Amino acid sequence: MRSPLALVDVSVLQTLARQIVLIVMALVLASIVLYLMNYDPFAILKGTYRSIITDFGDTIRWATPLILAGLAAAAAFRAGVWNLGIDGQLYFGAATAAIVGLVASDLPFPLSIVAAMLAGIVAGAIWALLAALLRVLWGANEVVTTLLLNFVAFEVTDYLVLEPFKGTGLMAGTMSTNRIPDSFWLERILHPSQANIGIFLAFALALVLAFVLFRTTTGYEFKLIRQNWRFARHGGVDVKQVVVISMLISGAVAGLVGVVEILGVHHRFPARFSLGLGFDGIVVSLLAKNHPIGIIASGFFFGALRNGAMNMERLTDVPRSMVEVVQAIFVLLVSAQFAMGYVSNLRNWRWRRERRPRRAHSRGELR
Amino acid sequence: MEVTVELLGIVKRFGSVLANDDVTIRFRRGQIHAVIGENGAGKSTLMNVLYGLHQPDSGEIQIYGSPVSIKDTHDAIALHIGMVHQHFMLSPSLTVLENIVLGQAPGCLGVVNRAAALRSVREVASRYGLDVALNARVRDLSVGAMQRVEILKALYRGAQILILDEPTAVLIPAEVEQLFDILRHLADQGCTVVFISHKLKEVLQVSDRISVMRGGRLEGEVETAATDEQELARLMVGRDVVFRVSKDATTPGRPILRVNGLAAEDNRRLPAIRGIDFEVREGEIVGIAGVEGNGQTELAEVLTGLRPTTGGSIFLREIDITRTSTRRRQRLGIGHIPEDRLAMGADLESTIAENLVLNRYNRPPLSRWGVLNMSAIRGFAGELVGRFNVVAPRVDAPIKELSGGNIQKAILARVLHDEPVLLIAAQPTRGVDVGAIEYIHREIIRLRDQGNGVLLISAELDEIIGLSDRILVMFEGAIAGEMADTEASEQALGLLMTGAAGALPAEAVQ
Repeated sequence: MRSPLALVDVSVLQTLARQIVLIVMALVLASIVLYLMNYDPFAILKGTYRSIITDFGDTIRWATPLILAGLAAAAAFRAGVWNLGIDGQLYFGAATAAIVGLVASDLPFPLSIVAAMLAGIVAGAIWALLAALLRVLWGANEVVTTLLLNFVAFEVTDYLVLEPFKGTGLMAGTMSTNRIPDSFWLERILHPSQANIGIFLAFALALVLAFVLFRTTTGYEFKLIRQNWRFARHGGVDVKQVVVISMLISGAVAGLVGVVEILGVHHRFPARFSLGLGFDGIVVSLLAKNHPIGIIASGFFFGALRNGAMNMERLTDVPRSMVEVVQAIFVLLVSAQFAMGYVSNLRNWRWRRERRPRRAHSRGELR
Repeated sequence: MEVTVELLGIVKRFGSVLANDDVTIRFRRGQIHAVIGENGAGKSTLMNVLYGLHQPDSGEIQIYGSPVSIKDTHDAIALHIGMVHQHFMLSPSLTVLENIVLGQAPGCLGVVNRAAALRSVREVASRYGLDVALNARVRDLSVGAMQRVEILKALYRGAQILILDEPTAVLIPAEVEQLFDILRHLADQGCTVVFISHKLKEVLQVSDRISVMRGGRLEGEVETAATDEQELARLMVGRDVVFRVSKDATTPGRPILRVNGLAAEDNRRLPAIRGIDFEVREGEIVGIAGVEGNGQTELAEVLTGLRPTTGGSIFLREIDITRTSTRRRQRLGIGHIPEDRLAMGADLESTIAENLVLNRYNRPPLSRWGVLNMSAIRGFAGELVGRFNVVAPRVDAPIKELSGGNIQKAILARVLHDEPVLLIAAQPTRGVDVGAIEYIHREIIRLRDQGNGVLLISAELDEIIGLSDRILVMFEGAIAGEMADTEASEQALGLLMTGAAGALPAEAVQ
């Protein structure tokens, strides 16, 4: 049923169906909230409809970083590692890419983008590596370290735009660096939206990650340490090494999110430009059950929602903050779904004891 | 004798699994009635139905001739049914008395009348001849004593019908004897004792009647006096079973494993192995006997590289592997059947194929340049499943769908396919049914006959005596004695296992 030996199987379709039900439930709940607050209950539908039909460009604009951030989250979650520091890694990736653009401004066109990307990816990976090392060397829980390292990243990048790379001229007083030369820009598509070719990068990366997770020895090791690290150790897998690899991949992709935001959308590094994109990526990944291909779909969905929020504001009198309410409802439903799985496991626990061989004599009982 | 409990046509289904299929059993007053069967035969499910933990899909339960509905354990207790689980449900930091009266204490307004509690528990204890120190803390008790506390707890709550789920699994031989005395006494006092087990010898020793279950159905019911091990095994497994696999004499060759002054700590960082020396030679099965928790678990982990040493050295052939990684030791020819099959030996959420390739997924032909070759993996898994008679629907089914015995066979297949020069087999047949035990024993002996070494760690004395060429007894992290298989007996080993080596005649201990 859950065979990862196949990229797509029955359970993927089942999961998809379940997630669609989830989405509908969240929309209905959100509409009820809107209605209760005397707003147009169809505002979300109208805004989202518009963002899919007439304003698809800006949906893509948001889907791009959301898919990439989702992939960053999945790379860690698939190994049972909790990278909650995507935001921080993303900021380092973004800042590094901008710095490359400012410092090496005369790099010719394709080389410029490649250099900025590599630098951003490395920066994100290094920031994630820090948390990984804290875990494997001293056992510090990565949930805590990655989360706290976010704040360090925010402050450090704030400093960069306040002091060494402070904007001048038009950008003076904006908490931003100067613009990077257009040789660094990712080509825009679907004018006049901010969508850019980064979306194709996101597609390609989803395929690559799917391949790595389901078709390589590394992916097999990820799965083993997520599901049963004792079994993995017994088989000679170096669990610490795998944790480090998964954090490196996750951080690298997170860095790339920042790079694509800078090169594709902002063309400069504005401080605190996308607070929360990393956490949205986590939700995107969870909604897709950490499946890279599913992340494309759920990234688009959240992109449409985010874009729809802006449309909603334009079309109706519903404030944009209501969309955050809708997102919160999703987060609740997605996490409730995980909790449900846990509860039904508990319910099955008793009869499994009958079917499974005994574990009566676990260590210590006879002491 | 009066029938106290009647389970009539009980059907219980879990999803697609029929755990109980039209089971009818009657239990009688003053009898010890054993319910036996392989793992997954439905014994525990049936008992959980009686104790109110499961609701039957159909069928009826009658107590003293009148139909009852047992919706939860409170109903069961009200009907004088008590159950002693395999996992004790005691609070270690409370005293025995506190554990027994917990939730049922005499007194008012939440104030416990300690004297009254003590009096009534004592009264129950003396009536049934149960000897427990009521003021001791549970954490200081031996396992046997904890079990007596559980029994006393059930009796204190008024149990007349007592269900014991695999009660001997955690006991050493002397404690088993003690338990049986208690059970006989309870039966004499008019209790109905239901005894769940898969150990034929014990069942024959203690019970009056035996019901055999297989695949959720009642396969037969016999008077204990009129049956024997062979018949019971045949009913349980559905075919004739060989209990003691015969093996030829062996002449051990050069040492394969040599351990000098080995020391290690347990998870709490307390010394678990205190400087032991031994050898395993070519063509030899060395058994490690001992009550669990005397360092055997740590020994297996240290030898396979899963736990660091704190002293001493380990040599495989002439190579020092004291600090070598688990994977390197595997490559050098150490195979390991871990004692905790479900937590370490297999990943239940993975497929059978994924479980089988654990030791070689990163080598050609199963993978190249880090890319898995799916068809090679499936082919490899299929081959192993066939060669080692693993009963499995398909290799990409989750391994948790297999029975315990078949999971163990799959683990065995994974390990033996590597043709290890040294096999470390920890509790290789625990919780496995008799048919699979026979198979596993044969494979272990075959490995030995090919000139390899086997270190067999087991809590089952039968298994140790039956398979080993030489037996070491571990007690408190040290080797308490050594015996050749020809001179080993359960009594002598049992004494060594409890550290009572001094009580043995000198010639029995080397």
